[in-house]
Amino acid sequence: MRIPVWQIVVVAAVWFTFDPGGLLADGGRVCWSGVSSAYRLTVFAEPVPLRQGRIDLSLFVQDFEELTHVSGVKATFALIPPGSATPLLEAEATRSNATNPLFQAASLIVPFSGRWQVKLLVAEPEGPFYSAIFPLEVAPAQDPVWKMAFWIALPVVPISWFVIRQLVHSRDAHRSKNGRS
Amino acid sequence: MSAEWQAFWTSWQFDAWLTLALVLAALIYLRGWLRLRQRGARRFSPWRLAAFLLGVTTVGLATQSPIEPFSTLLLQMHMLQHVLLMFVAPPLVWMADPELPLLVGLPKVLRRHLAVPILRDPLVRWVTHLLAHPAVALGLFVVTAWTWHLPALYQAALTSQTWHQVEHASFFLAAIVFWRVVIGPYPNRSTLSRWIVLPYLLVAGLQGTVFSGLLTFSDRLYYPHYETVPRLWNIAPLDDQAIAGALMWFSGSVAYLLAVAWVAAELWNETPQPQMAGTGRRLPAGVRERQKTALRISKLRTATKKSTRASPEVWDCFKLPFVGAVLKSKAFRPTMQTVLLLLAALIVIDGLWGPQATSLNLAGVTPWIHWRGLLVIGLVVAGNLFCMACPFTLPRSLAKTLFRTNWNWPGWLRSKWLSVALLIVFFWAYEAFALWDTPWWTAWIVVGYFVASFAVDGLFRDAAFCKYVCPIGQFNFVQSIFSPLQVAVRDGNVCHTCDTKDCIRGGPQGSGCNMELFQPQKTGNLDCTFCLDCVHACPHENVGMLAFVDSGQLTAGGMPSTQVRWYRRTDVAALLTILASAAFVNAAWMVEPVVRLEEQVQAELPLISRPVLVSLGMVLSLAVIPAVVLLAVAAVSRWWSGSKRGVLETATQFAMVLVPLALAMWTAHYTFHLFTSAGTLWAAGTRMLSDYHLATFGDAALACACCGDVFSWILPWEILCLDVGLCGSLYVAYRIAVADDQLSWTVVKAWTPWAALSTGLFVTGIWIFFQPMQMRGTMVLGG
Ligand code: SF4
Ligand code: SF4
Repeated sequence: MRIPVWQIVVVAAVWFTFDPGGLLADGGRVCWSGVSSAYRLTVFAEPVPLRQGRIDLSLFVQDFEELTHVSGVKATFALIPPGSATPLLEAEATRSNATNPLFQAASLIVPFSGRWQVKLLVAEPEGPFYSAIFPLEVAPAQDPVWKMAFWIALPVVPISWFVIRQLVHSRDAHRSKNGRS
Repeated sequence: MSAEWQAFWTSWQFDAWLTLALVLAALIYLRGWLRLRQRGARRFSPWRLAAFLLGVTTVGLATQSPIEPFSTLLLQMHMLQHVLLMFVAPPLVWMADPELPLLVGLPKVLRRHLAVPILRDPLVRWVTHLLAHPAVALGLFVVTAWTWHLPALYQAALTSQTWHQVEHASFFLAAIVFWRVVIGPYPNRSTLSRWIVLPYLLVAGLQGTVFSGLLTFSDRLYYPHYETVPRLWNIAPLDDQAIAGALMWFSGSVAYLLAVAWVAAELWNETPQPQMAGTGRRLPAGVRERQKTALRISKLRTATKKSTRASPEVWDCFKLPFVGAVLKSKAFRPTMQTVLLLLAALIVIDGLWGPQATSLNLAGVTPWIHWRGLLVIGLVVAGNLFCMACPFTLPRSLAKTLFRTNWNWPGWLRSKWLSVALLIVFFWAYEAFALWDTPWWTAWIVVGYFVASFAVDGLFRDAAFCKYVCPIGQFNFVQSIFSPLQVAVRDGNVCHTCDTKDCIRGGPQGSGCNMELFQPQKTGNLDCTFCLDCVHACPHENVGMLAFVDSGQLTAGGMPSTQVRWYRRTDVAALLTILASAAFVNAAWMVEPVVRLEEQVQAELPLISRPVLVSLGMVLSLAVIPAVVLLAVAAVSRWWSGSKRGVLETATQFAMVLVPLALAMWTAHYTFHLFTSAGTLWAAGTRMLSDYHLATFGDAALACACCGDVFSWILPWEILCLDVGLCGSLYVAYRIAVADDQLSWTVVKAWTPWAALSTGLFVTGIWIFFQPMQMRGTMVLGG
C-alpha cells in the first residue's frame, strides 16, 4: 500500500502552524485604578494570573471629570522587588507598545515571584509627576512541563481519532459480514 | 471625533495565520466556483459567490476589526462579535453551497490525496452524519452558547487571549453545524423533511429570547470584569449589559425570521413535476435534486476509479520543472560529490594543521553541528540526500581500475553485523574520546573513511563498502525508511513487459544498481543510496523519485537485495535497535543529570579509567539493555496474543517500531544543535580564512562561536518531533500486529506491549529535553 506523502506533509503542516500559545496584549485583568488631580487611571496586567517572566502592564488614562480618554500622557512603571525599597525594573508605557491605541503599554521581564510593588509615575498637565504605588502579586513561573503540556499531549488527538476510526471501521465490516451471511 | 472613536477606528488587528486561512478559503472557493461555472453549473450564481465572500469577510471583521480589542472593554462589543460569528457568517457561508466549489477549487493533488480520502473516511462520514441530525446540531448550538456565557468561563475568556480564541472558535463551529441544518446546502442535503426546520428554529429562537431577556432585564451584573474596566463613552456597566442583551435578541430574532422565510419559500416552491414510475405520484423537488446528485456522484466515483487504475498519480520529483532535469542529469551527482569532497578536504586541513580550539576549527564544528543537522533535515524532508552526494564513493571507479581484483564480498560478512559492530565502536569512541572536542581526531576519521572506502570498493565488487561497512550509510538507510521520497518504479506494468532489466544488470545507458536492489521488487528505502544509477540505466525511463511512504515494507516487504523478509533478519533488527538506542543514549549523555552520574561513578571507582567506564556504559545502554527490553516486550506480546512465532522472531518482526521514534529523536537532537549554533560555521570559516590572510578575524567571529540563544520555539519543536515519532511508532506497531489478522483482541494484545515501549521511549525523550544540555563544541567564551 502506498501512503501519498501529501497527506503526511499537509497534516504535519497544519499541526505545526497551529500555535496554541496565548498572546500577550494590552488587556488582561485590572490590577489597580485611582485618580490623580487631573486623571482617572486604570492599570491592566497580563497574563492572568501574573507569573514570573514576561508581563504586560497597560495604562488607560481618562479625564478626571469628563471621563473622556486622554492620550499621550508620559507614564512610567517602576517595579520594586519584594523586601526592597528601590526599583529593579523600569519601563515607559507607550502607545506604540499597545495594540489598542486607547492604552499605553510596557513590557517587563519579572525575574522572580513574590509581592512586588509597582510605582506608577504620570506627568500631570501642571506641576510635577503624580506617583502611585500598588502591589502586584507575581506567581512562580509555570512548571516547564506544564507549560509544554499542550505539545506533550498533542498525540492524544491523532491517536484517539485513529482508534475511533478503526473501531467504526471494524464495526461496519462486522455488520456487513453478518448481513451477508 | 472623540478620542474613543478615534481609537476605535485605528484599532485594526492583524493575525497573519487567520488572514492567510480566510484569504486561502476565499481563493479556493473562487477557483472552484469559476470551474463549475465553466462546466455549466448554473446553480452557482454570482450571488452565491458574493455570499461566501461576505461570510469570510464577516469572520475577518469579527476577529480582526476594532471590535476585537474593544470587546474586553464593552460587553456590547463582545456580543456584536458573537452575533457576527453565530448569526451572520455561518448562514452566509452555507448559502454559497460551499462544499462542491471548495472541493473543486483545491489543487488536484490535494483534492485527490487529501480531501477525497478524508471525506471518504468512515469516521469522518459518521461524524458528519451525526452532526447533520437536527437534535444533535441544535443541542450543540444551545449548549455551546449557554456554557460559554456562564460567568466563570466568560470571565476566563475576557482575561486570556487563548481562551478568547477557543471561545470564538467553538461559537463559530457550533453555529456552522446549526445553520447547515437550516440552509440544507447542495449537494449533501439531509434526507429528513424540511418541515422539521420550522420547530428547530422555534426552539432555537425561544432559548435565545430567554437568554437575551436575562441579560437585558437583570439588575445584576453577570460579568464583573466590565465593572473594573474604564467606562467608554460613559456607558455604565449595567446599561452596557442591557444593550448587549437587546443586540443579541434583535439579531437572533432577525436571523431566525429570515431563516423561517427561507425555508417557507423553499417548501412553497416545491411544486411536484415528474411522476414516480407506476404510482402516478410526482417526485418532490428535493428528492429529484438528490437523485441527480447521487447519479453525478456515482459517475464521478467510477471516473476516479478508472483514472486511478490507469495512473497511480504519485508525485514525481523528476517532473518538477528545471529541478527534475537537474536531478536527472548525469553530471548532478559527481558535481555534488566534488563540492563535498572539497569541503572534506578543508575540514581535514583545518583539523590537522589548524588550531585545536574546537569551536574555531572547521573540523570541530562542521561535521558535528552543521553536517549532522542538515543530514537529518534532508532525511525528514526528502530522502537519503547525503549518500547521494557522498564524497567517499567518488574515487570508487579509480579504485576499481587500480586494484582490478573484483572479489566477491565474503559470504559470512553479507549481513549488517559488521556495520552494527562498527556503529557501536563509533558511538563508544565518540563518548570515550570526546570526538566532537578534538578537530585532529575528526580529521583523521574523515581520512580513515576515504582510505577504507577506497580499499573496500577497490578490492570488492559493486558497492560493498556502502552496503556492508559504512556506519553513516546504515544510519541513512534506516532513517530513510520513513523519508517522503523514494527511488521507485513509476508503472509496474512497464517492468512486467521489460526484457532487459537494465536497472539491475546495467546496460548501454549506464551501470545497474550497485546495491543489488531490483527496482520492481524494491520496497522502501533500506539500502538505497539515491545514486540514481537505476534511473539512468532504465531504458524505459520508468524509475522516478516518487513521493510516498511504502507501508508494505513494514509487513510484506523483503530485504530487497536478498529477497529475505526483513523481519526474519536478526542483523537488520539489531541495526534498527542499536540506532534507536543510540538516538536516546547520545542525547542523554549530554544532559546534566547523566553527566553528573558519570562523574559520581568515576569518583567512586577511581581505579577504572574513563574510557573503560564509558565502554561499560555504552555496551550496557546501547546493546545489552535494549536487547533485554526488546526480547522481554516480544515475550509479553507473544504470550499475550498467543502467537506461534518465537520470541526472537517476534522481536525481529516488531523492531521496526523503534524507527520513527529514533528518527524523531535524532532530528530533535541534531536540529537543536544546528539551530542554536549555526553561526559557528561563520566563526570557524572566518578564522581559517584569516589564517591565510584572506579575511580579518574579529571579536564578532569569536563571540559568534559561543552558543547562541535557545529560541523559545526550540523546545516545542523538539517535543513536536517526538509527538510525530510516537504516532509513527504506534502506527507501525499496529500495522505489524494487524498484518496476520483482522482487527481483534488478539491484535490489540500483540500491539499493547509495543505501544507501552513506544510510550516509555517518548517519556524518556521528553525527560531528556527538559534537562540542561551541554553545548558541545561551541564553548569559547567562559561557558
Ligand atoms: S525499472 Fe526499468 S529496467 Fe528495471 S525492470 Fe523496470 S522497466 Fe526494466
Ligand atoms: S541504483 Fe540502487 S541504490 Fe541507486 S538509487 Fe537506484 S535503487 Fe537506489
